[in-house]
Amino acid sequence: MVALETITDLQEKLVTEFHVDKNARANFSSLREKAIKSFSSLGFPTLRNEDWKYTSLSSIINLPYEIAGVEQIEKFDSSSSILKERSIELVFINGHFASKLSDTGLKPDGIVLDTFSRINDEVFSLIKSKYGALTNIDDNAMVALNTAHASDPFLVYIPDNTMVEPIIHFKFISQNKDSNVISFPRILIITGKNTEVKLLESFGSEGSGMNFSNLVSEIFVGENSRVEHFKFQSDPNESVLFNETNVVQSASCKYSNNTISMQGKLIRNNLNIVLQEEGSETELFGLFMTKDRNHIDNHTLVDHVKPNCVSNELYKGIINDRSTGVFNGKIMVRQDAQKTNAFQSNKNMLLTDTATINTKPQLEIFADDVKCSHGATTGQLDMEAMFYLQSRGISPGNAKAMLLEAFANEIVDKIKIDSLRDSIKVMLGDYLKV
Amino acid sequence: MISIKDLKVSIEGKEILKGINLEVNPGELHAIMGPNGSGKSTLASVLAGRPEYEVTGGEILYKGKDLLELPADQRAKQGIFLAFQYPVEIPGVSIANFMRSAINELRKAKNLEPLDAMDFLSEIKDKMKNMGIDLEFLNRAVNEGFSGGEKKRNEIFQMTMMDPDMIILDETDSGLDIDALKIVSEGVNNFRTDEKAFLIITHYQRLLNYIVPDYVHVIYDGRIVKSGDKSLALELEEKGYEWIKKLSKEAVEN
Ligand SMILES: Nc1ncnc2c1ncn2[C@@H]1O[C@H](COP(=O)(O)OP(=O)(O)O)[C@@H](O)[C@H]1O
Ligand SMILES: [Mg+2]
Repeated sequence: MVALETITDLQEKLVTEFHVDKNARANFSSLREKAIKSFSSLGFPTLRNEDWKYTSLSSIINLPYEIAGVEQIEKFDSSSSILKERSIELVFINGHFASKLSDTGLKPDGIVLDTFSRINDEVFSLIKSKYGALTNIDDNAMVALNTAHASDPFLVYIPDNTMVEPIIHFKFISQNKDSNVISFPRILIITGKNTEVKLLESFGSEGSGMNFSNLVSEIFVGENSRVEHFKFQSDPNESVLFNETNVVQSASCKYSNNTISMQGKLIRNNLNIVLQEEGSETELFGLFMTKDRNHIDNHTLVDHVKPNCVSNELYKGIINDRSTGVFNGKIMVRQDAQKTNAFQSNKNMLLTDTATINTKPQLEIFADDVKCSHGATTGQLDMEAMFYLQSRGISPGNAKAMLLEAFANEIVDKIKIDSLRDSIKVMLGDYLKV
Repeated sequence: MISIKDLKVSIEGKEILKGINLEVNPGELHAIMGPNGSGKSTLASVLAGRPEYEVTGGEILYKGKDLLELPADQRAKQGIFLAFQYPVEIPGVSIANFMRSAINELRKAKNLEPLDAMDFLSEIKDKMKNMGIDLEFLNRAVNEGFSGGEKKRNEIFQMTMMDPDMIILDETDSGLDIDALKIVSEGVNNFRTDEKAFLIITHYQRLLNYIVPDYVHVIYDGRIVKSGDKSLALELEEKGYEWIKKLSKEAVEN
């Protein structure tokens, strides 16, 4: 395993090392078998794939990998928590739920937080038809790969009329000793009617090899519910993340997502929202910052299926050095979806001549009585403002950091959890000063 | 304080200042007048260190040292202050954050501890009050949505916070109503000491009724074409631009 493997070698390894225990309950063996067949024929996405036009995996998948096993590493450095308050902390090591490292002490009665293999039959029957319902394993190779290899997905089930006060914090930790590891965390979240929940995802990694995570989530937002979802993708260890999140919204509910990506060798986010019923609202905010030769790609899709829904999206990018950012946002308004309000905006700052942004806002409207707008702007640091700050004794480095923080804070200030917002601001300040 | 010798400045290949000579000593207040486009703001910008301008000739000594060597923030740290003709709006940066960063960088340059939030607040509040600036401005973005008068008062407020030695005001009077003009002038007059030097750029004689200059210079087409005492400002007001152009022609011919 010392020699470099070719693309097909990793693909072949992932196919040949695939196995599923047919006798275990709740293992979705036929779905997983179908998924591995699909991955096997699709292969990893390449630049020829329209959805991956600007994001190349070739340098990542050309490395030899181990597929993350279930063996648990019993400790990891969790000292720098981004929340001050105690939360429901769910730790995943290389994609596998680590119950001993997790803290579910604040879990309210009635909600279910567990892996598929440990939930009871009654709960399993409630979720059986939901798992895999929001993902497309026929065309999406990365999701097919996750579906095949996610051996024990994790369930968050929130019954009707439940308000979950503490934040549910998913900590995705990747670990390797010296080899490269690829892992497949998989989450299913179902909220009932009249519920409220705040979800936070954070990422970290350890080890000298490459950590490559392929994380897929499905979220069902129940009628009249509120789901606030925060993703803080900042791994100083330069890991690789593919993260697809599929959300379907029932009637009169609100889903908000705030994704902040600031460190990582390569991050690809797919965020797909379906406004399946009337009277719902979606808010999508994103801040992505890249430097060195790193790469962040955000693909979002908001699909307005039914009337009287509102979606509002703002993504901001700060692209430095020789790095690349991608924003591809699509709003779809179906024929039925009259009285839709859909807004999307992408604003980017390029800090060097060698930084690149590829932005593609798309609007497809099949209804006639709608209000929609979209737009993208890309600019540089405002040199007038730079001079003004410096004329007051502020050094060029601090002046630049102040202007970039001001640009970024439009997104960070949307975070209503004080301790989270404050720690992100501190990290952002440090990130922008160097 | 500052000594400008045969200063020539170009932007985008076009010569704007064509040989400026000017000496300002501590305790003196010099007024610079002249029609639009004559190079007044260019002179102010070059003194403050705006990077787009290219100095093609001459020198500027500040406190005996070569000023042109220093980047803009270093000039500010050494006591140069420019009140801008058109202060720029900076969305997302609050006045409080901006001034605190500025003050603490100045203090750091002087090897002083940073001001803590309490001390900073009490100092800033006093000075805002003196300039008739509402306290709610602390949380507003720098110059964003400020009226013309608010922007100018904000500049003078910053001057009082930073306590500079060499103060350059670029048309701080334009766009001010009479009450604001009085507040601004009072701010400047209270600030005058034997140690501080002032260069006041103005288009109108009006300001000089409130801020009385020691010297007046008239600039036209990149040159100082006439210098005198405060009576020159009145003479200029009376005789107008044609007189200036004639003077300019004579100066070039000499
Ligand atoms: N950034 C610039 N680019 C090109 N020309 C400029 C620039 N700034 C000033 N100028 C030109 O320089 C001349 C002097 O301008 P300025 O110094 O602003 O004059 P004043 O302040 O006396 O009105 C004008 O002709 C103006 O058009
Ligand atoms: Mg001017």
